[in-house]
Amino acid sequence: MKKTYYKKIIILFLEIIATIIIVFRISYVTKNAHHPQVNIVSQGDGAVYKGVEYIITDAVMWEYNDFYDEYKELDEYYIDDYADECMMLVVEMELTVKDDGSGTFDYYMPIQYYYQDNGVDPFMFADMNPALIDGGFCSGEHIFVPYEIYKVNATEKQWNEIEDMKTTYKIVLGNYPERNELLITDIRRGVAE
Amino acid sequence: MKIELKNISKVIKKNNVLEDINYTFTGGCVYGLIGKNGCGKTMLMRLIAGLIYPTSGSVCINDKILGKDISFPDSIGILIENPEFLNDYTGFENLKLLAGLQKNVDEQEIKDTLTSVGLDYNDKRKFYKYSLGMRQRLGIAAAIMGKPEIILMDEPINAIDEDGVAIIRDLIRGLVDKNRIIIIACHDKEEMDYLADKKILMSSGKIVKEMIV
Amino acid sequence: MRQILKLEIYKALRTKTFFISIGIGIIISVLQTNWFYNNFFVENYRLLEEYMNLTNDDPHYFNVWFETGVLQGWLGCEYASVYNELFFLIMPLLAVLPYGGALYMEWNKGYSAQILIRCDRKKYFTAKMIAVFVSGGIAISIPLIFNFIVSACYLPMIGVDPLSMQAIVANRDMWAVLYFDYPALYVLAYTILDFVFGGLMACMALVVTHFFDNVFAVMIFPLLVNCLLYYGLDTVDSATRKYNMSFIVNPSQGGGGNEILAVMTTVFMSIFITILLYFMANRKRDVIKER
Repeated sequence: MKKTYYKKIIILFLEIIATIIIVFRISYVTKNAHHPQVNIVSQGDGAVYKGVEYIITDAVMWEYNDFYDEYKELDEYYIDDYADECMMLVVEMELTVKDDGSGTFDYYMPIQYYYQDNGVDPFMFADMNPALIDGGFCSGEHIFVPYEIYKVNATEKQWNEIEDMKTTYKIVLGNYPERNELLITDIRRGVAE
Repeated sequence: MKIELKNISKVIKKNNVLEDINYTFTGGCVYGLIGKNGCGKTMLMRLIAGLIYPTSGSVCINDKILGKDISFPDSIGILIENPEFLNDYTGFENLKLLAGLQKNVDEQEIKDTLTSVGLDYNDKRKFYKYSLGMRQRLGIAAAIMGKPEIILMDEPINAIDEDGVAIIRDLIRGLVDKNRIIIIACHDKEEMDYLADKKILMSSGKIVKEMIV
Repeated sequence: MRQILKLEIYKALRTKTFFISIGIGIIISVLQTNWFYNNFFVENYRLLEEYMNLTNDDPHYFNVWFETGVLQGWLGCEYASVYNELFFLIMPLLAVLPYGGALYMEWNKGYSAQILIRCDRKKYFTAKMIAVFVSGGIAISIPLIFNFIVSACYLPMIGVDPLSMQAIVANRDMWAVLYFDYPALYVLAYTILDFVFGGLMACMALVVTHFFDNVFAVMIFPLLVNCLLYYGLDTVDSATRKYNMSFIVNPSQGGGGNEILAVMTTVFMSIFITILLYFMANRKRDVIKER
């Protein structure tokens, strides 16, 4: 009887030790993970990434059809079925090459909202910013970045918030070792002329 | 103590295994069921134990209808066909698990019961290592554990050696009590004559004759 | 009821097959961890080292590197190797092994008779079902929890970054918040769900106990049902996927994402149907040793 009792005590003791070791190990691994340095930038403020400063100057949310009414030159990208399934967010940014002039523009500027991310359609982006392609772009000028926001990626509640423009977006530039998050909080509704 | 069988019939796959049985068992007596193989002795025992349901008729135990007022007899022990227990437990552990369902059996009684049937309660062998005779003894122990008011035994001395037979014989006779009904089925005529106070002859699912020994 | 329940659970958690089932699950878990560590984790850190030696001018320097989080390495969510699919394919077998065949064995060998003369029939069947459910659920949960703990010992407890495009769960899927921000809670939630479904799968064997002549057929039945649901029903009509048990159980939500309402409906309907069929199949059943 005594032997069984001592056996149980020893087993319990070993279980406690094992638990403590595991907990410490898990804490250590999490604490020493490669966490990026996160720079959160408010709308209107600048973030420097690869030698170029990005400032969000404007953000316009368009109904799908209104967007293509406004940007008639982009007609080839229009798809009938998307009319009620997609909104277009156009972000205007000021790009400034910093002092040494050796900055690199990176068009990989994904947008994140809730747990969803979208990239930029490179062809639509090129058509909206021809100066970037033909070499006519100068530091300090503005670019227009289009993002397609799909209903299928959002829950019903989230989509209602998107339509009501209550959603906060962020454009992410780089992820490691530095992560710049440019917040888009002030969005106006686009109306086709 | 009383078991009443009223107009009992049992049909299994269109076969009348029991047909229109009317009989009353009373305490203080050992009843012996005799008859050819397949005459319905085991089925009758299963019926009394509440393990099978009659196609028609009823079983009353102390004026309570089985299957209606009670789902199984309040106090019963059975040994029907080859007794089966849990293979990965010893004899003592097996009885202890069953005793856990009965409120009136403690560990000492389990040990005494095992000793009375000629088994060692300290035996560490698992049930699957038991010989046929040991299994039979364990089955008997399970049947008499807790000194139930109804004891049903089908071929109790099956696979038991000579010495064991004597032990079992005395054990059964020692359990006779006015508040206890013991029903056994046995092919050995000599044993039946020794054990039973009343013999019931069955044939083709019917009770043919009752004989007082 | 307490006594018979105690007895049944005591028996269920001590069968050899219970430990075999957990052993198989643990082996799959270990193999998966080993695979992921060598093929993903180590490779990711090699990439980091490579990137850290590049400069802004280098066209291969994307400034994009993601730490591998614990959920990416967890058996439930790791989708690159075969182990996730293997585990959830044989999940019904792992669940039924511990105690799913117990009713069949006890009934046909005559051990049930010993119980039924000491205990009410309904209580016996109820206790049996609970024991099968619990043992089946535990057999599924333990490998998942074990794998999570082992993964957490080398992968940080961080959620998956949506930008990494390595997230198996989408924004609109069930429990996306937990997946992306609270990985431990995601694991806990899905382990509980898999415990329930594991238990239900094990109980399927109880329902068909008296319809087969062979314990092997009884034990394999839940696996066949799972295969039928996964490969059969889904091929015929993929719209049923959100109610399809074989898809719901997988934390990777590979079937287009789960919906909480559909999952709950499936859970309650499955429990209700299983209990109903089980008690209907065993109502007034004679205890006769048939073999």
